[in-house]
Amino acid sequence: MLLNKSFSLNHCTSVKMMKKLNQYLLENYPLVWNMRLLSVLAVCTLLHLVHFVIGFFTFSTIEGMSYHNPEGMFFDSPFALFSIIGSFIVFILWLIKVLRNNAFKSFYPFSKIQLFAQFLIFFLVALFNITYYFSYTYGYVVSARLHTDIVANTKDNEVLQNVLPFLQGKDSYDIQNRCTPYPFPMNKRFKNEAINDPNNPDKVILPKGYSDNSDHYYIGSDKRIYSPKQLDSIAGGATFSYLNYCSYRYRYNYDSYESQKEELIQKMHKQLKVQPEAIRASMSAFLQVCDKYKIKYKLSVDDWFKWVYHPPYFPVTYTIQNTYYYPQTDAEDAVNEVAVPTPANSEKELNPKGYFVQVDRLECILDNTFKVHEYHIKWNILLVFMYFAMAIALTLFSFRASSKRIWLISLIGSALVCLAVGAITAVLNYGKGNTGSMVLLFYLLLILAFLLVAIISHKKTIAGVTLNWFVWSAPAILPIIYGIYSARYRYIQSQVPAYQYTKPHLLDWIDNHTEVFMSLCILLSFISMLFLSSRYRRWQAMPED
Amino acid sequence: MPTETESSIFEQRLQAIANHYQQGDVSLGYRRLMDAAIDTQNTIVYNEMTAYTDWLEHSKKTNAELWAKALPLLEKIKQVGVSITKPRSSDILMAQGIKKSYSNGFFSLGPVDLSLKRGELVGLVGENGNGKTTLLRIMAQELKYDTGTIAYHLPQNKNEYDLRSQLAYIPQRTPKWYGSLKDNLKFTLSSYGIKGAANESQVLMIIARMGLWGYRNLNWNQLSSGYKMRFELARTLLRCPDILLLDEPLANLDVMAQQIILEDLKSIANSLSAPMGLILSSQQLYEVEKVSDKVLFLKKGQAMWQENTTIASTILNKQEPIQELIIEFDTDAERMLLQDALSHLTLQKLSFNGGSYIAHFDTSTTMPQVLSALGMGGINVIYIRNISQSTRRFFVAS
Repeated sequence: MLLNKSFSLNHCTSVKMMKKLNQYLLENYPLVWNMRLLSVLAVCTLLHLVHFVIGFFTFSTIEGMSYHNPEGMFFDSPFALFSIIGSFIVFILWLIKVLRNNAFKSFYPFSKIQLFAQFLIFFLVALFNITYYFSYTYGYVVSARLHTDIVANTKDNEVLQNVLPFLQGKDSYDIQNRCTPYPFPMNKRFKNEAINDPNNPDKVILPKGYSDNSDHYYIGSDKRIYSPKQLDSIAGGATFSYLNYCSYRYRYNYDSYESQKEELIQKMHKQLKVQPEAIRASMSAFLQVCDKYKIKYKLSVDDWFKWVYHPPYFPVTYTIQNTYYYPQTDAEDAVNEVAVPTPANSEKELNPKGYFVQVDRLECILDNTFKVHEYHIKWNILLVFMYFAMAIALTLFSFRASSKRIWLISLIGSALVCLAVGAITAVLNYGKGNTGSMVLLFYLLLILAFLLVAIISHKKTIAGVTLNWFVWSAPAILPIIYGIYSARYRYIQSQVPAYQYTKPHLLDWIDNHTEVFMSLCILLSFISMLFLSSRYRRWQAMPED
Repeated sequence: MPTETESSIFEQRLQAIANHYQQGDVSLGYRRLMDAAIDTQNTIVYNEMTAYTDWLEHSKKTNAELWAKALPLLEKIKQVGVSITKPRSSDILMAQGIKKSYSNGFFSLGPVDLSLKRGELVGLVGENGNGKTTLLRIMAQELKYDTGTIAYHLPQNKNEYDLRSQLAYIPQRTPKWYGSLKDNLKFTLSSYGIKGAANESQVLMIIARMGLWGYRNLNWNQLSSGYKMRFELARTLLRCPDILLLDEPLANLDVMAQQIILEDLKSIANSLSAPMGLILSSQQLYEVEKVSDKVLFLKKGQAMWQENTTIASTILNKQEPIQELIIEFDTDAERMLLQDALSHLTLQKLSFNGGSYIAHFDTSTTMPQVLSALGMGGINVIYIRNISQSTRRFFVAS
């Protein structure tokens, strides 16, 4: 009873406070009041909080991290659909309130800066209302960080890296994959190309007769040609050897991957040759890591070690099956069913005891754990959302700054224009030559024509429709200019020999700085809206025909 | 700063208010008191005025009580004095040879010449479909015209949008609005840069002035058509436009409300602090003529001017000479009887337009002579009016 009273009192106080705040905004900041900025931000903040909490509780166990990439969690979950619907509902309810008053259309004093501020509010609200993904992901990440230990993860990853050379399919051990020692790695060459000097003792000459049985040769990093026999001699007959393993895992955000890989290979070679017990210890540690993460396996350290340890060339005679590939939907069932896998006949020879281990799954767990600890909002992802928000803001702003009738005509008209443009594009593309830049140039001229008509037309309807079209297509101007520039140079490149062609610095810079370029496009869209706001003012004041 | 003339007019108005109260015409006195309060442009006066309105609305008061409470307020208004925000000037709108044709060729307006001063009220009359709304929309810059020129002599007229900010056009069908009446008015005022406590005071003042005190927390659905029009007027007055264009503002009002609104419009247009030019269209000829400085009659798009005999002579310093005496009257008497009664006067034409008789005499006959003749003839007159100088003659006496 007392609790109810207290709740009711608090509720009344907060309602009163909201009313007071609303009145304050109404009397002092009409634009903020009219745009219901505080209300919509409050609702969006609440929804962000809800997404964060749901994301937080989505994390259940560390083993569960094998199923989803933390950055893709949101879109993989059915909750994403509810979130999108929620976001849509917020937009609708907000717009119903916002569209109730329009000082601009009532001809109250409304400067171009205020009009631009209105556009900014549309953009901010749109951005805030479509980025629940980040809150959800961040909630998941925070929870995952609390349940995982990056130090232990690093150690477990090291253990995995140590045994990874002994858990691959046979192809991974082909001598072609070998990258150390010098002159490895070697490239396969076909016989008719691979001929060497007869004056050098180790060299092969096969210019005409093809007397050798092999159909290929190898070229080493030292640029010398090696026959398959020579290679066989180097490998001691072990064409498939653990020593040939070179593909250590690239880890997310891993710096200096190449030097780390080199270190790991050297370490593996050293252990195989002089520290076999270290290999056994690593295998044993690996199975403990598997137990820790509830990774299913059927493997005995003794057998595994026996399979691997065949000095001095360490040929691969048996392999261990990686049964469980990421992503797999019903993990546990799959594991139970394949507890004793029944390999094909060819595989039986390589894996007579049916050994398997869920290596991929472990890799996913370790990688995803690493990712959650390294997680931060990435600018390129945010840019994608910003482009969405820009599209929404432009649509809403044009609706508010023009009129329902003009906006609808613009919308239907734009569909017709797109059809016409598509047909013209098809005609322009019919034939050959440098049509890419021509088509883009046509688009650019069309967009500029919209602006020109919007400025010079004395017909309010025509001026309004073309102004809306220009506003909608203005953000594409810079990418189109880039496209024309790029297409033009691609064409030049195709017309001249490669040695005569040098890529322009600007094009090179844009290609290497896509994010900066896309950010510039957004920035330019904002600046153009500042000028277009003034255009909308003039249009609004135009008398009707 | 007000000129001596303006101060003197203000003093006269305050004296008139005192007279209204003392003579028991409290309603008129109260409305004029609010006009005077608005003329001060003073927040303290506004607050006291709205407190007075609130007190007045809460229970029935005797005239003596009302006067006792109004007197200190009147003194306060006198003490604060009038504040001039928009000085009277010459013409603020000059339109010449305005013509407009619609593409279907069905209707064409003009040519129309029109001038408007601050404080001036122009009535626009005519039958339906004769171009009243078209002309108003042209003046409001809502509609293009084919030929002619319109010059607006307004301050802060930097661009087209600024110009339209100074023109207020209220259409016959006002658009729907949302939220409470008071919040909408507050929004209007804060959009004009009046913030905080001043916003509240000014809004309450205009609510009181437009007789919306008891309705201030209602929304659009809860108001009658008449009160919706009052709200539109309140909103427009808060904007302090230089030119106010009203399309059929009386259409949804009862007879009493029409008279009050017209009186109020006249008073508001003629405000000392912020006078504005006002053009209103209506079919209530008699009522409009009573308050208008001049009346423009539109028939099939053609314009005919009528200067108001009482006001135009002083303001425009000209008076159209009377061509004939035209009397409109209603009676149940037979036509023959009427002709007999009026036969000794210079009756030139007697016609019946379905509702009433229209009698035309030459200028040697006067209205009292007509009244006398009808009385002597035993004619039972239900209604009679001299329409010699009224635009009504264009409607009924053609």
